[in-house]
Amino acid sequence: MIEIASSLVRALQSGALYALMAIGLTLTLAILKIPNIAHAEYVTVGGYVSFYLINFAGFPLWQTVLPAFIFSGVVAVLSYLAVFRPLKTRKVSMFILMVASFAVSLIIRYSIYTIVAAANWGFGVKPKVVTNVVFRIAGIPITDILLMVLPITVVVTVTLYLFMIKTLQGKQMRAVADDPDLAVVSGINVDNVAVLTFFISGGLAGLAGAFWVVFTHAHPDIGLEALIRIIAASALGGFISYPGTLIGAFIVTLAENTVMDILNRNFGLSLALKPLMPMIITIVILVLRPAGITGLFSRQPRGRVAR
Amino acid sequence: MDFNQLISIIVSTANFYAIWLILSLSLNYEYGYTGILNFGKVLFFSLGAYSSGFLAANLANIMAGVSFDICSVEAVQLRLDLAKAVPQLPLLVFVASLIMGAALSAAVAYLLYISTSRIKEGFVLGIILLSAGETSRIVVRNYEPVVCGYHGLVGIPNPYTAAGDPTSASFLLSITIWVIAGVAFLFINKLTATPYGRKLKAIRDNELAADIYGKKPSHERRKVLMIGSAMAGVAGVLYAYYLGFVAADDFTSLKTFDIWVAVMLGGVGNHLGAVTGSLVVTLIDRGTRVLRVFLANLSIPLETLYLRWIIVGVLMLLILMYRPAGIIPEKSIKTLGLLRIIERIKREKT
Amino acid sequence: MTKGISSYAVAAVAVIMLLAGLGLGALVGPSISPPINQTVTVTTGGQVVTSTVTQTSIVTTTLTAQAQTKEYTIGFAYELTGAQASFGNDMKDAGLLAVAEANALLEKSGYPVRFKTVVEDTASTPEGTVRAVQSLVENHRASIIVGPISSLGVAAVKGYLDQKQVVLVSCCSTAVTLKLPNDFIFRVIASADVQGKALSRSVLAEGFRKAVVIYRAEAFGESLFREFKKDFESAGGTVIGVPYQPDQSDYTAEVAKLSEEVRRSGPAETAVVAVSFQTDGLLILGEARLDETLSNVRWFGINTFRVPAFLPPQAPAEIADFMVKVSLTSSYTAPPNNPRYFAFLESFEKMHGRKAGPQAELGYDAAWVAILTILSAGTDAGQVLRDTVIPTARKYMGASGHIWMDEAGDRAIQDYTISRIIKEGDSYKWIDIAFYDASGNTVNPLTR
Repeated sequence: MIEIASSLVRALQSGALYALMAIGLTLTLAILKIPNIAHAEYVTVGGYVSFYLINFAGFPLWQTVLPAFIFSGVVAVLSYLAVFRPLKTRKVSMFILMVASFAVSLIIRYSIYTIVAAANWGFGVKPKVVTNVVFRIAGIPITDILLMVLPITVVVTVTLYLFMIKTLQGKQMRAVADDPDLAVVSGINVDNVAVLTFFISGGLAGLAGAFWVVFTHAHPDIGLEALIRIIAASALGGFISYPGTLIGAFIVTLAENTVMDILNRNFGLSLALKPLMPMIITIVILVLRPAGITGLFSRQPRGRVAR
Repeated sequence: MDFNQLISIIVSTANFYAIWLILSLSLNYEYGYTGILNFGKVLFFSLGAYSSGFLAANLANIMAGVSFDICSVEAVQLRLDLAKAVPQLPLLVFVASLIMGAALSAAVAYLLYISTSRIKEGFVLGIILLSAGETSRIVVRNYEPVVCGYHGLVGIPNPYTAAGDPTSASFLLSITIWVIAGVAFLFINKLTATPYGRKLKAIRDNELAADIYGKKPSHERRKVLMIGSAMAGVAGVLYAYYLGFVAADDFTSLKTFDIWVAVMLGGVGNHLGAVTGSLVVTLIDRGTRVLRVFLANLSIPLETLYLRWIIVGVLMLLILMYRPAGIIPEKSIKTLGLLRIIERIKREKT
Repeated sequence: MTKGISSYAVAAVAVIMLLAGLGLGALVGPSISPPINQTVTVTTGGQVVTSTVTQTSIVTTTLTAQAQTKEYTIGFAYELTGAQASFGNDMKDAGLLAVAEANALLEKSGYPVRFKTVVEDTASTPEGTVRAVQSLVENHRASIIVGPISSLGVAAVKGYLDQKQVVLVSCCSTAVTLKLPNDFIFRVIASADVQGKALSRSVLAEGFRKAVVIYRAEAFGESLFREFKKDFESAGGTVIGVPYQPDQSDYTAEVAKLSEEVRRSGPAETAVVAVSFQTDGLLILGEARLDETLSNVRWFGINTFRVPAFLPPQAPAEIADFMVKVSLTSSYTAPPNNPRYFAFLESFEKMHGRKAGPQAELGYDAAWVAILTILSAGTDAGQVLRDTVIPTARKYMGASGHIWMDEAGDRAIQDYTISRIIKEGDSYKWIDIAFYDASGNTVNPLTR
């Protein structure tokens, strides 16, 4: 029983991080119709910003969060201005945009590889700041990362939700998501909305990356590794739903930790099959509820993402 | 730089090109003609490769009447010895693998399609296929009886062992790969240059209208996915025999993205696009390797190893920026009736 | 209209550039090399000779080396990106050191042979390895290939190399399915069974009869585990395995499982054995630190743990402290007090400005075996090289000890020095405690 509870705690911890990563992917896809594979690289960028500040400037973890957010956000905006905006003005299909984002992810990832190799940082090293156990409940370790990440995720998601509902910019974003042509006709500057969307999504990915790099390690592939789980989380939200993505991220980590734990305990399934769990959960949920899990919670009409 | 060197560069580039050509032709057939978002292409590719490994290993055991573990070094030695002793056997197994690879891929495509028949959103089907591809990779990776799990299956004999020396055997195999790629191109051209091809594009462009005109979109899509997957299966068989080796770890989802890149760069909805796209992708790989060593020689104070990938990304972006519809964009279909109408308009103008 | 033409033109130019690059590279490829500009210290017969190897461009090579100087290309195909990037970069750098040393010696002696290196990235995938090796053989006409690390990569290029008759010397591939005689694949590492036995004996020697093994679920880790289990159980022990999928970034679930198995087995009499590489090893230690049970048992690790990457300044001090707390016992692939091993470590740091990673001595030896094979064959004909590798390697005393290859071209004997980490003041130190003798399958304590 304790083991199940401890796996739930682990699921909560990584679920919160995957949620922060996946929100951005959903935002760009829902608002701008850009399936941005390079989104995973913003996680790596944020991670390396945090890694650099911790190891070479002696910052504590919490102080690196904001720089990581801003830096990744700026990289995301730059990738929009340099690549996605020119392509958008040419009215290319969604999947051309996907291929372009694949190219962007190659450029970002291997630029990081170049920097890491040139600076002799080493691949897959642990940052100087490590996770620590703050206290234990019945032997289950509660780490400082969990205590930082959970509140931040809650605050960020609530703030972002209020931002989307209450503020003018948020309303503009939702208007663009519903009907870009109508938004233009109503005098909304779609370009500004796009820049803001990219900044927020990239920033959130970078924020998650700052924690992720301390939770795991600094390697130019950390984003790529997380990508398939980010996609799964976003898919569970039907690629358009904000709460759906959040719940999707927790379902993915729950499958990897708790479900895997139960299967291992009761059916002797090898732990090496752990990466299988998010995939199977994605297939099962999408086959049963093709529009994602959000249908369970909201009655909003769902826009069609793909043709 | 001598003639032999040039020949060997061309041969090995052409081998990879031919395999990629079959894959991109089939993906272009699926996406460019009916709009199926097959993000799980690598699944069907890998099924072909697994069937060749599985057949080559188990048939050798059955022929020799032994029950070695197919992953043991004795079994590898047996496969290679048996190929030398009975030189016709590998060719037979090769043909059997082609049939099994194509059939298995088509069957899995059929099963996946009917089990997801409720799904209307193309993107969701794509994600299911993507997850299915990863699932099969992880399962095969951890399940030894198929192709030795993470050890990989070594020693698939060259089908032309009968030719004697390894050089001519491998050259014959290369020719076979090119011929099959050529046949695939002609087949898919023949298949789509008919009213059938226009029907598919009609389904892609307006599913509802096509349905109303009685074109059965779901039925057609299923057929297209099966044919496309069978082609990918054949490509997988060729790949396995070319390397003489299969491992599940080779079939990550990144391969699917590569095929998408080839199709998108080349131009969707026409076969010449797929031909060009896969050529560009193959040449980018070889070309940038050479370019990198050239740059390293210019004493740039940077780690040039990773520069290669950055160049690949920039080249892809340049093509997309300046040819957003692909290098060879889709042309509207000119039927006889349409040509006559154009003629008439021209005549009336003059 | 003009816009249409210009975009056609740009696309055409892009394609032509590619074709031109391919052709140009194929033409100049064989005659160029990446610049190497470094000071190399070579220890010969007790005296230290320092010389500078300069090989900046085509011009210098052709000018300094007169017409009769013969130049051979050694192709390095290593995992420089992807999951095994940290491993591959160390191996490549160790190999470059060997080539630089060889060239320095050749220049000093005036012998008219030089070695050139071309490095290609396999991207840690089988297909990437095939493409890298094809490029090395065809574009750069490499006489011999050194690398890659992964057995899958070696297996993927085996067919191609046998057909092209090019010799490959791998530093670290351990798969038993590649133990085939008369092929072009040679390996300077003993297969996993030797290492499994060494590990098992070192655990037994400390008096443990129960072990929980956390291991990489891939070719290397699994065969090592199998061999460990066989040997450990033959000595009356019991073994529980916790496999994990390598190349992830989150191992919390696996470590929790490990802790549970240890608790069930009895922490006091159970040893924890980790079969991990550098990247996943760091992650597992970093997670195990947070676990109460795992912090109070004895840990044993394979040779990858005994590297500077696990100690400050490269790793956080908390991980090193944890290693000291569980008195992590690890090994390295060399007989104790091998001067060549220590000379290698020193030269590596001097050349690359950082310390060598796990098993880098094997990458160094693989390159040296390749160099010596070409030198003793006096040609780069594949058939001749193939027949020369085994006799040459048998005469070579490497940083990892004596490389005695069996008929299949794999190292037959590998000795290990077993050491344990301790903390002295603020610094961490590995002290050699015992010696694994492969010929007798025994662990002999070292007396100091």
